[in-house]
Amino acid sequence: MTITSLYFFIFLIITTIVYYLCPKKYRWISLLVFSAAFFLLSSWEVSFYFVIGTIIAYVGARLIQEKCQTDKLKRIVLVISIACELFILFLLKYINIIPNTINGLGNLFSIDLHFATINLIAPIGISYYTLSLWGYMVDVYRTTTEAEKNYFKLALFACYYPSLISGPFVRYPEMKTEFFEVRSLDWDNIFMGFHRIVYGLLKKMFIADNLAVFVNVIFSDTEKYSGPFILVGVMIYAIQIYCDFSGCMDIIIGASTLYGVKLPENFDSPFFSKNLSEFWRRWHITLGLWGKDYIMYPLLKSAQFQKLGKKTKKMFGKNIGKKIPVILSILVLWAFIGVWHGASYKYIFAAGILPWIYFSFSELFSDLFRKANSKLNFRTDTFSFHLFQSARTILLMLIIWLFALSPSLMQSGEIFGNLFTIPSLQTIKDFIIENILGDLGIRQLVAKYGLLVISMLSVTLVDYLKYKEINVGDRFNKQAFWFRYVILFAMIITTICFGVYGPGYNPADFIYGGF
Amino acid sequence: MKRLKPIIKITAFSLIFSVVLYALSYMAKPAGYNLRHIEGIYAEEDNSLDVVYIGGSAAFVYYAPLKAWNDYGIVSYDYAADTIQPELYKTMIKEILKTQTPKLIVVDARSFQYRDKDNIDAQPPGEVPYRNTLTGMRLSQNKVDFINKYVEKQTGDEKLSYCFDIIKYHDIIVCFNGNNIKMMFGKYKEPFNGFYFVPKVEEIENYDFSTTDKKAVSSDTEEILNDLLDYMDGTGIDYLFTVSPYAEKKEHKMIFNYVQEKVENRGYKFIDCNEYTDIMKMDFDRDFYNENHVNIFGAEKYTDFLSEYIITNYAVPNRKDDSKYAFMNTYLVDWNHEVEDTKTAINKLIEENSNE
Repeated sequence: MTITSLYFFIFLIITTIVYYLCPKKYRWISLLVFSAAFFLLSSWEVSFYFVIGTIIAYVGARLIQEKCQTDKLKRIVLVISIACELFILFLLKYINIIPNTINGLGNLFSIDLHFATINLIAPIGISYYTLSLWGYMVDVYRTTTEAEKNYFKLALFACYYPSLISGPFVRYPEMKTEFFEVRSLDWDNIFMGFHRIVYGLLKKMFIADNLAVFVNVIFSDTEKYSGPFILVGVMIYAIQIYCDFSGCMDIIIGASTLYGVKLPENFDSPFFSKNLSEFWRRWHITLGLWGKDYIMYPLLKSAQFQKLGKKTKKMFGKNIGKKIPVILSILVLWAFIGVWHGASYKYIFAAGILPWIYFSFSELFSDLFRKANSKLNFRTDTFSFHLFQSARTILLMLIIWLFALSPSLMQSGEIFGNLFTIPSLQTIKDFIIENILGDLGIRQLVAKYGLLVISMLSVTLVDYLKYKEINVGDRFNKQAFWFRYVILFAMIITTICFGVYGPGYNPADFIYGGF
Repeated sequence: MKRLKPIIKITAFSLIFSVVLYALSYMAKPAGYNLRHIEGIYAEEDNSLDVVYIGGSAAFVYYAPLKAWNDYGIVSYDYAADTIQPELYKTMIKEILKTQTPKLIVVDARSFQYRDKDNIDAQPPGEVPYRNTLTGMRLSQNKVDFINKYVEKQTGDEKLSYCFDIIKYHDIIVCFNGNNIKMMFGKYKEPFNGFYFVPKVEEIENYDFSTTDKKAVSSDTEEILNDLLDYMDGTGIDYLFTVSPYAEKKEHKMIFNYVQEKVENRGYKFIDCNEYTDIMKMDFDRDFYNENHVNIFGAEKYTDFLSEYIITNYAVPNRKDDSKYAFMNTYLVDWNHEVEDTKTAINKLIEENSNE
């Protein structure tokens, strides 16, 4: 059941009605039942992995809080519990990286090793709920929250179905109040949730999936569609992946809002960012925050890193020396994020190593750039400078996405090579005829691409307003009823008429659903 | 009142949305003769048709209802769509009987020959044959029953898009045809009562098909035939199974012989009109546009033959003098005009071919 299918919306309507018909005190139980049903419908055959994962977290957290007397013992239990969770995750999602690596190395030396890969089915959302449970156990260890005594409440936190699909990463202390606080029906939640879902559907099914057609064609044969095709293709991909992922988040957060459960935001106008640090604070926000809170900061605070910091200060001086532990902790963080994106070296490189190189470079030379700016009398508070900064940030991200679009890390070199060749005029002509014009009539062409441009500009405007810290959702909800519904109808009709769905289409799966 | 306000808003939105979706779903239907033939029957006045001819192109390019009206006073309609499959017949009859009480339903039997994929010249069930008919059929329990029973089994497709056509055809909404709006209100009148003109001609082979041998249809097709016959028994209507003239082969005839026996055993008539092409004076050089279909010259001959057969064998009245049906004459102007245009086009093609 994908979240753009009719079945999902029927499920959503029924569950929302049932949820509000339940006595307030027991509404969380209905959420657990809905989530369990959703989980079982998607992954019933591997649901025991989920049960094992939640039992480990439940028992681990209670041991840490109630049975372990010393900090050392608590830490041992924490590490063992997290290791067990990660073992399941590794087994189900990453085990094949071992035979693939050995086979790949063999190929380099022309040796056919043929190590067999294993096809294990992973439960839906395993990487999301595993990290959420990891965070929960760390929170209990840090006494940020108390260990949950009711297993089923913890199970709901782990399998809450809207956030199970593609995140956002949730934290127990925040979600506890959202799930278990007794609340009445608030119609504003229903309307706002609905608005958000409609907006998300437009972004995913109309913008992202229509753009996916071009991206798929270009990157299926970059030798043919070279040079400007690749450049334009990766730019389109940037819009596609943003509309895909943020559209998915809009649907998820909107669906959750219907129950009155507020999920954390995952996007905040990333394309207006002035630098990569800001970009990552605005893109997949909950993953970045999770990584900082549960990987980077614990590393930096660890005794080993403290010692390392002292040593590097002595060796390289105070300025550079203090940055080295930070750079190393960022390496661990980004390596983890890279691995989280997929059991493939291209992800490890594109979503891990490459961002780390960017950050390290920025960290090491930030003082130098600042000095250069002031010496050259560059005005950095102007719109044009902001524009330059945003363009630079996007350009760096385009390089990352170009790697992500390659079939493998080895083949990414070919794509970068093809970037500097010129396609034939016939190829350009064929591309326009086959992929843009297709068998659309003039009315369809004007309507489809006109609406596509209008929708992308609208998304940009909404993001700009959000960037300027204007609460677009609230503002929209305060508009006259007729105005809101004319806009909503326009979005719904556009999605119905030009969205990518139904037989004869190849609707793209949510890109982040695969991570 | 304040507590009711959100519910009123949601209800109003749902109603408007349903109306818009309903309208969009009609606009999304692909304009074409299949849709027009199937949808057109809803615009016929209730209980006005005496004969309905169900089937595929072997019906709608063969039997001309307006000629049958003009020459024999028969009020009839071709309820037919391309590459029809026999499993659709029961559903089609049920749909007809919702608004009509015909004296006779003529059933195109050629579909029984091409349904089984192992047969020569097979056109087995699949998405296209089903959609050709189902897209024009309104959503009802009858349609849903068919979809549930056959779609997944025969096509492997998800059933939902057969119930709600917009899922399949949403991208063609902006090029909708004006007829779709009329269809939405059940006001689309099929101008030639389901007949379709093809201004083409081809000389075809007249094979020796005569044989008394029989070849059984597959168990699946036989089940469909038996189910259809069982259903027909309970409707109290007369049925006539026909095989319209075409380049019939022995292998085809063997299957028709088998089906004929089954049909006749249940008390219904079955005529293979290929046996009467001499009586019809069917010209295999001029009256066909391909091996499987006649053009207007052949259609006129077939319509004459079948109409005479119908008035001889069934209680189908001549309504020519019935003032209630006077409106039928108003369609004849366009009909005659189209017949002449098509014949002229075909004659021109014949002339061009003979010059080459």
